[in-house]
Amino acid sequence: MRRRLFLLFIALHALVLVGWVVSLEWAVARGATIRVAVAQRDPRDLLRGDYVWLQFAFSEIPPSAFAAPARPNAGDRVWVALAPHEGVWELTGASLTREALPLTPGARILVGRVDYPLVQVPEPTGGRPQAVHVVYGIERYYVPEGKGTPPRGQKLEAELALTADGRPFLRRLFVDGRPYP
Amino acid sequence: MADRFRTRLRAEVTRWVRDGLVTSEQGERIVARYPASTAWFARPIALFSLIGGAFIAAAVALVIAHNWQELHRWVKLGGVVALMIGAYAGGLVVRDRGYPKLGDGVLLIGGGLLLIGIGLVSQIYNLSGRPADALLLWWVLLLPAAYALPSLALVMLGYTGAFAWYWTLTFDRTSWLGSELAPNWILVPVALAAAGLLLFPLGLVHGDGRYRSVRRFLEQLGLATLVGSLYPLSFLWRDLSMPDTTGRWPVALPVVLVFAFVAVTAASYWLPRDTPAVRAGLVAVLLAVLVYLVALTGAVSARAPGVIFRALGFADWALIFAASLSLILYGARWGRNAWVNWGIVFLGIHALARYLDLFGTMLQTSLLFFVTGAFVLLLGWALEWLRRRMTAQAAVRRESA
Repeated sequence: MRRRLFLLFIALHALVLVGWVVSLEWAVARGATIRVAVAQRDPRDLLRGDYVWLQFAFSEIPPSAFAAPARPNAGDRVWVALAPHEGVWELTGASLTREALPLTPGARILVGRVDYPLVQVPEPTGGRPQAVHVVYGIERYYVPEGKGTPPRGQKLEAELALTADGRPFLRRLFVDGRPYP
Repeated sequence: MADRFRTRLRAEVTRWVRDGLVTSEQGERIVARYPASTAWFARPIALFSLIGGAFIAAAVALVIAHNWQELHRWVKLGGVVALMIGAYAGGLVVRDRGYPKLGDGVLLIGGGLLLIGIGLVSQIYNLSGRPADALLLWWVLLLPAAYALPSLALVMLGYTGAFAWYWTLTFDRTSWLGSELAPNWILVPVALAAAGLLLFPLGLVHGDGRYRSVRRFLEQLGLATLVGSLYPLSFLWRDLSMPDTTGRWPVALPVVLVFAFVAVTAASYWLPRDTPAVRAGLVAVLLAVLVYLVALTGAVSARAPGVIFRALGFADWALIFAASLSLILYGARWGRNAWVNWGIVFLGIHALARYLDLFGTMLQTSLLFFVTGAFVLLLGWALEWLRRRMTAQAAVRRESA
């Protein structure tokens, strides 16, 4: 009896893994594909190997981009609106509630979580305006061993699949318009 | 242990024969009654099986981490699932053939491959959200299977996963727990100590039967987490600068503390048999730690003045000392050597931490150590006196009977 129960649980392990992949395939296939600009940061996960650590333009959201004055806390959900602009999708607004997010025609929603409520972002002009640091769960692009550092100084873009409810999937990385690696 | 007993028995029997208590023939029969145990051989097999299993799982993990993009994702996933099922099946076969410990080692590879499979899926789909979610999925799937068989190695692996999940959750600023703890570092050790208070009674529940090794594992993990988390708080007396809290009262942390309270009160039922007063003593120490954690959470949330934190820092010193001493006393009384060892280690670390903490004021440190040393010496003398008195009383009772 116990043995049968154990075998049932083992079958469940396999089913969960396969089922999970099927659900992800389904979400990615149905999601809208968009391209966004990114900056590369860094390297290695013990279980999943080398990766390129990505920082998106909408990872740091200025307080002025929020629909209403907001004082977010770490862990809060953030709804972000993205719209196409010169080939890449850019931030047009953000909100701590879905209802308050203004959406222009053609814009899409992206959902993230507040990592740091207020960080100072250095600018080339020397200024350090404040921003809310948001993570989306797509900050790592896993690559074969030794490919974690694409050539620097070139234009980096990421192709995302966005589900209707704003869940993003990182599909491909482009360096100067070519898929990487 | 068994062989140590046999050596001691042989020496004792020689003395009994010499003193004329038993004949040499009787002595030989007594010694023959306890044949040489195979425990010494059994122990390395268990250890080597676990280490071997862990190495093989790590090897597969590295192959996955290498990230072969030439292979289609379904091929990679199919390979891991096939390996996982193969490892589980292999473990069952080895167990059935009379090698339970080796079988546990092979099952451990299966459990590790489940985590590797989860890692593989998140690698393929570039999912880098919360690492805690992957660990949650792992231990929630693993533990029921481990208890169903049961496989003690898998049970312990499952609890290791659960602990790793909680640990990761604590330090993840975007998680339901970590987001509450992030604004003030003091709450992190509070949350970890609460986990220790949950793990220790969870260990007790496993009793001394089939799950004895799980009991010992969880008890020790709980104790190390509990007292280990109290050490950083022992520096609170130093007027540390407190970061501003968000003004939000925590919700998740009090829930964890309530669970810890339920676990500690339930623990009184599972403690070894003894008088109610003695059993209540250990529960009282654990509850005192819990009350301290609640007070600290309240002080942080209410932005209490520095004097409160200083007082709580000194209270932490007393609690570490009381908890360590209780472990030594209760461990000795109930024959739990691991408790005694941990108690001694905790006291040693506490003394070292205080030495470093108070470094610079040598006379004060000297006074503190002198008072503590004198107290421990007096306590040792009192305990020895009590032991002798009780032994003598027991002997008198036996003779009069």
